[in-house]
Amino acid sequence: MALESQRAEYLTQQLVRYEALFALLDDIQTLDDIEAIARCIAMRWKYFANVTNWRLATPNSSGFQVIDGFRGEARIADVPALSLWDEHHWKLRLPRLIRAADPWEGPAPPEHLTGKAITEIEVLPFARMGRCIGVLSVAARHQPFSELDNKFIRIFGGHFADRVSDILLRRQATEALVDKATRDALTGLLNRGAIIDRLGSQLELSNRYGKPLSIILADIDFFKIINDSHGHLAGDEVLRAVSRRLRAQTFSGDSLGRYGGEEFLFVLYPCGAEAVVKAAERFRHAIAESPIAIDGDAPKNLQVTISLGASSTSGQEDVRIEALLKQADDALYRSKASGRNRVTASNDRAVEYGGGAG
Amino acid sequence: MDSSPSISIGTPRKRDTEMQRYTLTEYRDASPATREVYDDFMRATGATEVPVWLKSLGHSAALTRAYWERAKGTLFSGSLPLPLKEMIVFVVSAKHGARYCSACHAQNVLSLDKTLEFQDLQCVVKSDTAKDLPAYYQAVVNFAIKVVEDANGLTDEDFEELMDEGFGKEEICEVIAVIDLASMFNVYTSSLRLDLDPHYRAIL
Repeated sequence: MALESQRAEYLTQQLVRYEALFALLDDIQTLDDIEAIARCIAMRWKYFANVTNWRLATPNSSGFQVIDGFRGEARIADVPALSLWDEHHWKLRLPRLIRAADPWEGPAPPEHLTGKAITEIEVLPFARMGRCIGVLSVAARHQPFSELDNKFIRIFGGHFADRVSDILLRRQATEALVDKATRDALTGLLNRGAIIDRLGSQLELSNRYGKPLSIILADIDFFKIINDSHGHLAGDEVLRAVSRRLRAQTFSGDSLGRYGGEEFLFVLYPCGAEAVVKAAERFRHAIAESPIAIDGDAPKNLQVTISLGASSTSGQEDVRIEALLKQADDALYRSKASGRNRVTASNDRAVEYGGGAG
Repeated sequence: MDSSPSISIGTPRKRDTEMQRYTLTEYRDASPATREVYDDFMRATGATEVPVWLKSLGHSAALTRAYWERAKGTLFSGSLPLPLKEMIVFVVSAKHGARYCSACHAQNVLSLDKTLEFQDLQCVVKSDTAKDLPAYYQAVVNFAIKVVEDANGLTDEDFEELMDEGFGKEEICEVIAVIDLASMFNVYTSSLRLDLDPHYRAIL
């Protein structure tokens, strides 16, 4: 009779825990944001197992994501490397039960998994297709984990690690796709489509808020001669080096794109007609100030220059992208026609500088 | 359609000398606005009948709505599980000696948490050695009792204790809102000396 009532008690306990578990699983499947998922778990894990303090370490694109849950809240950190505790268990890839009363010579557990009330820590690595997708550490408070606790920790821990890992993988895949679709493979700058999209959105802002916007078209001088004389590999190297130098001069890397073969487009917002000439001169100087080193069979230094054309809108007039680009292109043409290595604003004559044509 | 008067009198109490302090507004007699609240109550709780406490407010659609919205917003939303909230209401009501609320919520606790039995709740009321409740559960019960005894006497340590058991600050705020809700209903039901609904079993 006693056994029967114990069994009945066990089954009811199981049922009550399953209800809480399913409700949480439902929510974490619906949510797509790891922060919101972690917050839910920090509050609700205690309702189906003796778990209030936990850590999940998962690999992400730049290292690891570590989620800590304690005191009903969750904290997420992206870290380049794991702590000694996590690294130890990551390498071991074995479930471990570490009792507070027993001697432990491994690395110290994270602070929130220690303390007077903690009786033991269970560590569970989760592997999928031979790859470790996460290491979970959960601490038992007051009482050691019961058989039911263990059962529910394993069921839920697996779902939790899978969910986080899925979201991170999907995020990486999406980022890679977006990157591939918007980045120029050779220079890493935005490609033509992406920089024109950016110009469109910035122009909208300029019109909405009445603030000036400027663009600069820059073209490498005598690029065909570089290619013909030093080979296409050297030409590619020059394109990469010019891109690096120009990107270092922009306040936001995304306001610069590769517009064509050896042509670059800057979108500067907010930036008026006077400021854009100063910016363009800074870009011109960054290229002309020192030669570009080309590695390879015959290393050499090439003196490279660029010509630039700028155009601006005050934000008070309705200007179309095509018109703005045409003005900048005309100004660039004037820079080329008047000797190269110089800056021309759409309403000005070319401003000459003593850098000498490359 | 029944044409009986819009307000009916509650069942007389056993002791003849005691005054009947409230009137019940039955569904069929309620105004459309009150009926709307009754309907919302039944939809949200799954009950097929309107309980005595709600019917006792039915004479005023505004009061009916105010009391019901307070209960609904506190009990049926938020992040604490309903069984735990029902337990808080039960403990607070028992501590306040509120006969109606303690019976009603004892019933709710038992229907939601199948690990508990009527005797377990009686033990909680008598502060006997109760069934082994999970640590977080016990911590919430202790917290609720402290609030009822002396809300001003709450210390940071009391909050720390709940946080150590895994409750965030927002959850603790919700715990207090449930304690407050119970206290409000305790004052209302005890002052009017509401009779228990037929299917409730007195625990005090």
